[in-house]
Amino acid sequence: MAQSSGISFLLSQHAEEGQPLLVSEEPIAREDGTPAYLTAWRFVPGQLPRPVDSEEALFLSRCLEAVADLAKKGKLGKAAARDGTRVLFYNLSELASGKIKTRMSYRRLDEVAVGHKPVAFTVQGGTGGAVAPGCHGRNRVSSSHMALKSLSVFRPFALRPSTSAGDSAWLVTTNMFQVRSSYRPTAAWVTCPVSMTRRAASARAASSANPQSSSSANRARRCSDSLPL
Amino acid sequence: MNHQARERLEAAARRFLDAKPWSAVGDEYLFGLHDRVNDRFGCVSVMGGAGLEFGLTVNLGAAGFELLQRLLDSQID
Repeated sequence: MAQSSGISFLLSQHAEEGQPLLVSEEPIAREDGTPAYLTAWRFVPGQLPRPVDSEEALFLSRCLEAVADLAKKGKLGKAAARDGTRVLFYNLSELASGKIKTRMSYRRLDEVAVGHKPVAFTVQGGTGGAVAPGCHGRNRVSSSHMALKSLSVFRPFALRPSTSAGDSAWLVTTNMFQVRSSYRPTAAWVTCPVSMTRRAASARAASSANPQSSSSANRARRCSDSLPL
Repeated sequence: MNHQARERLEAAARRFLDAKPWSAVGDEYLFGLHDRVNDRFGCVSVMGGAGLEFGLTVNLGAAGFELLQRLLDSQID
């Protein structure tokens, strides 16, 4: 079964200065005025996200420039994404001036059976090989915050990176396509350094004091709200 | 990531945000980009239509199309 890795750009509200995912440490305002950061992510099945390297950054740059140009010219979304069994493609080439030239075509792709081995997130945070950067301790976040869930891919929507005392922590909530239809996180998984466990314990204590939180969805949401993101 | 790549990526990201491509397409509009410079291609989804998160994701290879389509169809998490 084939797997697919991904490269993403995200205007993230959850980034913090000093993170390796940041493209720029200068915050910029979203349309609603809230500060956000330019972040770039490399997603590989079975691994936690990592920053992009130089080659990946240039590839992502060309993709961003191409989509921006198509949007500014009013061409984006005008062509059907599919023509029968063929898929809309834009071929990108770089001119000597540095500008990106796009040429539209439709292409028939080979059929690929995609299968990502599900990553079962347990209350201990064991993920069969996915290890968070900076994670040097076993996750002791309480089961009261957790719900079992299998995530086969990481998405930018699904992760909120954070740092604590120079270490990294990752919070998985849900995937982007579930978010698109309804923002209801259904599970959370946290992997964190030992130093984070005290904060998680505090979050658990705070949530235990709230009786209106029996469902796993509410537990997960409260978990994401409680942690220092 | 070296300095030159970072600078270009930042500029490209700002151009992308200025262009607001999510006003033209939703994240269900999946199309391909083939970068002839390094002969890498993938399936593209523009994020931002819901007004929550803004960005662009490229899932690489022919598998990327199948993966994103199955995600859209909620066949996999």
